[in-house]
Amino acid sequence: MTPDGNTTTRGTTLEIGDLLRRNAPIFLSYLVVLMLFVAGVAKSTGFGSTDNIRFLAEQATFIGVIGLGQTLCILTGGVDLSVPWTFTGAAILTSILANQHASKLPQVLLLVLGLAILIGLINGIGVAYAGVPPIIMTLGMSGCVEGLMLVYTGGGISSYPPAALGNWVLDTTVGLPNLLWVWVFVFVVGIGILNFTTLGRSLYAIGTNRAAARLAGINVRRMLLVPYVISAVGGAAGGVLLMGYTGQAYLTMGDPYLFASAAAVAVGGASILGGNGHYIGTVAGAFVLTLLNALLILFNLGTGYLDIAYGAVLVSAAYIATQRFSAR
Amino acid sequence: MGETEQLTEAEQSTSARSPDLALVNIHKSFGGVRALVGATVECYRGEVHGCIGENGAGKSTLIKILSGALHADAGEITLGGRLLHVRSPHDARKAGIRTVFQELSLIPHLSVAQNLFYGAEPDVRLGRISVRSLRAAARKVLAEYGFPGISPDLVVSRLQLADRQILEIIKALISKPEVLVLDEATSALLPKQVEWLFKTVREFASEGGIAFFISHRLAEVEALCDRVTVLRNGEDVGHGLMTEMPEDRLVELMLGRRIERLYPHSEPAGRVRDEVVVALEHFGAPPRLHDVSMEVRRGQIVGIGGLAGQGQSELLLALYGARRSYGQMTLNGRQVHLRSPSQALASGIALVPEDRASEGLCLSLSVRENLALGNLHTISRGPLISPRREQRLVRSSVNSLHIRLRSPRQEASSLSGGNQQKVLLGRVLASDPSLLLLYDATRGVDIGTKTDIYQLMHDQCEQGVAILFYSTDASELANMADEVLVLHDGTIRARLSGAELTEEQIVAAAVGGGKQATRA
Amino acid sequence: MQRLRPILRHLDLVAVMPYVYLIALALALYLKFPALLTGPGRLNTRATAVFPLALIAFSQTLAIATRGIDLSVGGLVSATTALIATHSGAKGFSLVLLVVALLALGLLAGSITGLIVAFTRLQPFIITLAMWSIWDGIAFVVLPVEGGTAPPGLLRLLLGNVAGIPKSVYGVVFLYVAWLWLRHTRFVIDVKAIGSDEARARLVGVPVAWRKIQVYVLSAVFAVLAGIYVSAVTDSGAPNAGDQFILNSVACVVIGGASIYGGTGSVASSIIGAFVLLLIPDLVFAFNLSSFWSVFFEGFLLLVAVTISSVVITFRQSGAG
Repeated sequence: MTPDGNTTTRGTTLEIGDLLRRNAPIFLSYLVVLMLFVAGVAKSTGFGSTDNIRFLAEQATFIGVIGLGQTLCILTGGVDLSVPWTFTGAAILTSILANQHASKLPQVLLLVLGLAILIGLINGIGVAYAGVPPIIMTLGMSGCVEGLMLVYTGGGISSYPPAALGNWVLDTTVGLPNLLWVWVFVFVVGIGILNFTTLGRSLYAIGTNRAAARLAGINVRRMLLVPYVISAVGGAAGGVLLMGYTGQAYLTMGDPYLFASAAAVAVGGASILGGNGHYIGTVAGAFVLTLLNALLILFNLGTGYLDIAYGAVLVSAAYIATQRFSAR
Repeated sequence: MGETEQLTEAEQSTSARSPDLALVNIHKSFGGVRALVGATVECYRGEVHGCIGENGAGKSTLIKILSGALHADAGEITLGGRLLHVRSPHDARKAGIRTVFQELSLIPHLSVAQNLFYGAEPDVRLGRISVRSLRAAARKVLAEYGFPGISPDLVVSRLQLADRQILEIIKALISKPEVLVLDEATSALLPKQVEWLFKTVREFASEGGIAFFISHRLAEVEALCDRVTVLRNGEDVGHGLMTEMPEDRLVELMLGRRIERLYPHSEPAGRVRDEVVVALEHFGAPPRLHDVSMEVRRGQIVGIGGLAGQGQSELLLALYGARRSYGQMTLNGRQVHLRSPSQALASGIALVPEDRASEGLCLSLSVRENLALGNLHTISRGPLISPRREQRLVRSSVNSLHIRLRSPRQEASSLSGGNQQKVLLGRVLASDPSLLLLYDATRGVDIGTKTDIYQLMHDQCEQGVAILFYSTDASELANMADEVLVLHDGTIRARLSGAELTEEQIVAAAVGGGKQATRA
Repeated sequence: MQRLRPILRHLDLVAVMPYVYLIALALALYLKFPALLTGPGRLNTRATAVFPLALIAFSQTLAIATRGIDLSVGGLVSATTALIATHSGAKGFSLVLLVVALLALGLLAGSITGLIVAFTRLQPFIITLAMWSIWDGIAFVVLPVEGGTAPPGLLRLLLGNVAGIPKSVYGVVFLYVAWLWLRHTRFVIDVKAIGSDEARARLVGVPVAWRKIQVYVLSAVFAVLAGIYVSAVTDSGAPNAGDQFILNSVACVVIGGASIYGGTGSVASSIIGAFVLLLIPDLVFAFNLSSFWSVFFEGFLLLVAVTISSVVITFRQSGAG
């Protein structure tokens, strides 16, 4: 009997080979971004202008900001379906309160942040401690927040978003609009958490093999609160930012962002089965979806076509991801 | 090659007739581990054929191949002289083979009647099953087989494990199979139910069926079977009529001659200190651990033996805070009640779990990430992971355990079983435990890695670590442990040490004979 | 707590839970505003509201029983109402054609979903989430703004009374009776087996892939039927007509006592769940709250029901081996 000490090797012998292989889907998604961009330029030369690129980046920010939370939820085997309503709710609440208390915008934002954290905690506690499946928990939460918003606004909104917010969002600092700086901040936080913190490692472990994570000493239940809190906070931030950017707050503003956030995560190569994926991929996903939107507009196709596109992208990207992971 | 038993005259005359069911020269490997190396079993109609061997001998692999759940790498199966191509459970069923697995196949949310007759309900019109006739048919069958008490409408998940096992057996029988395979079918049965099983199986054989009974309960095989094959290390080392195989010959064949060099030599007197690391008093953990009192000292290796399912898993998991427990537990002199693995780790207890794939490693993560997993607080400063400390941890684990890999960044799933186990051990040891719990740590691992693990265990003990390990391998227990506690029915049936600590005594105590516990 | 365990373990949740909720809410309504519960015309209004929800809860029960879920029903209902609203001139033969075309669409939609569920490792929630988006999109493309009317022929067919009893009541009763017959078919047994333990179901010979496809086809067709009915009742179309049905149908199933993890479920109980859920708007009215509170309480009731269900299930499992 011979001892088997040799490992089964595949691919190149360099460490880089491993890195490339594991992150292939992310590279692939950036390739898709490039291809879509080129398609846009081919259709209309103005597409490639710096102005347009900045515009596209701004559009993508909203998906990007809420995408971090959704990435973390999907990474740990769940999903957050309440995002559209934390998004809309934060915007509307900020708008109404800021108008009632004219000079207290920072306090209003703080309150909205607190409420978002509360929503995230409730979602997280339901999922982590009561064992409720994330789809149902966040679906129910979505209904609750929607109901509260409808009651609060009486079904229609009649106040204008605070000008100060709009000004800040569109103001530029060191050449980039503050809006984009927020995304940069989220990006840094996302990469930081996933690559450099014990929290990030724990989340990957939980998503890959919850039983093993628990036996390795990770406090799974407490850790599971984090993705949902971040998702709720991200959702709220996204809504407030969109309101500042467009100068509008209305009850259906969050609707497209549910499919968008899930699709962005899927495009980024995250396996919907949990345990794989990275926010860098979601960023690419946000660009892919934004470019798709822009292309659809170029071809004169409206919002309905966007939803169809999101759905098709979501299911194909998710399918490709499972193919990749079942190859091992 | 193992020794094969010489054929007696009686045997020669029977085997002049060709076997009705033959598995010939079956080979099967999983990665680097060779489960079957040319095993041959020959069964005859009208006989109950027993297959015995220790855990890891290859019995369950053989069964899985026969029932289509696995493919053999080489070898052939013939039934009634015809060559069988069993590529799936469906093929096996079509060929008339019914297997009662240890892992039951009853569907938890369906009723007794629905499970019994699935696919062959008595009265089906337009796709609709007549509940009344189903119930009546089930009642009839249950009464026929001697179990009128089980209600046909009861949802299976509400049945006791023993009743479920009986149901599984009845389910296999009512389809009138040609071959009935029973894999550890008595593991959950009470003595009266075991008698029922024997009677039923004998009837089946006498009506012309071929019964194949796998067990490591020697007493049962002796009582039930007409013919027996002994497996060891993946091959058949002896076969013959039951009447011509005395018990001690069977035990000798099962255990064989071990390579003594496999186990490192170590003087317990030198390394076992007086200091007690963990002491348990009337400790229990539901559902199967009832009352255990024991202690482990610094530098000592205590082994846990016994048949599977007697509470060993509950014991180790409860000590690690991963299961609820009751009773008293004293750790380094202080009374503790551990409620979570993270608490246990913080108190210096570490566990290598049973199934490295499903409970130990995160296989799609890299080796580096797996090694870091249980030790996040030691390689981090605050919330941030320090790459340098992580690097140091990885390097020291890989070196001290001789883990063969291309790069720490490669995926854990791409390592061999033995190396994966080493990664798990590395992670566990990096937390510097004072009590190391090992659950079947050498299962599914090649010889070379086993030797390394044994050496590692001794090294740890030299440094004062206390080790409590559960193994299904009696030889391992006999050679590695200073003291072995054999569990049965949630309590300690025998405490073996010194001269009494032999493989035979361990096996005997596990199956019910041998020396009983004389100390409380 | 220890004494509760044996009782809980033997409790048939599917048989008992929906009635617990029904009694609790009906009692509250009865005490506060009896006329809303038993007044004249209430049966008609109630049955009319329950019928489309019962249709979707029917198939949702089966989807959840297989350990899946169908989120796309919302999109299909919306798309159906949109398509009908843009063909409000249809009558006679063209009306029949319209209905047949819609049903064919449902068949197609369900087949696509079912095939993807059956043959990939993707979870049903992600597949049906994507399909929801696609059908929602189609609804928007066809009918960007709420409006239109339903073909009069449809209104005549679906609304009104027969022998003094509202047609919707017949509809609900029909679904209930249909279930009593269906629950003993191989189809339903297979569905529960798949949700109970898919690996073992496969081992025992259940045609897993085929059953999954059937479940999602049924779901889509029922969603289309529900959409047709909603069109008639509201006499209009809307691109978001179906959204409420998603949360509500899942709530019906959970209130009906089924386990969200599959293996159990009864359409009869889910229909009771539909009645329970639709007591909420009445309760909201009775307590003089803005009607928008209904939306909140429907979500809240789902959360309460599923938390109770999850906690009971974990409780039961922690005792067993």
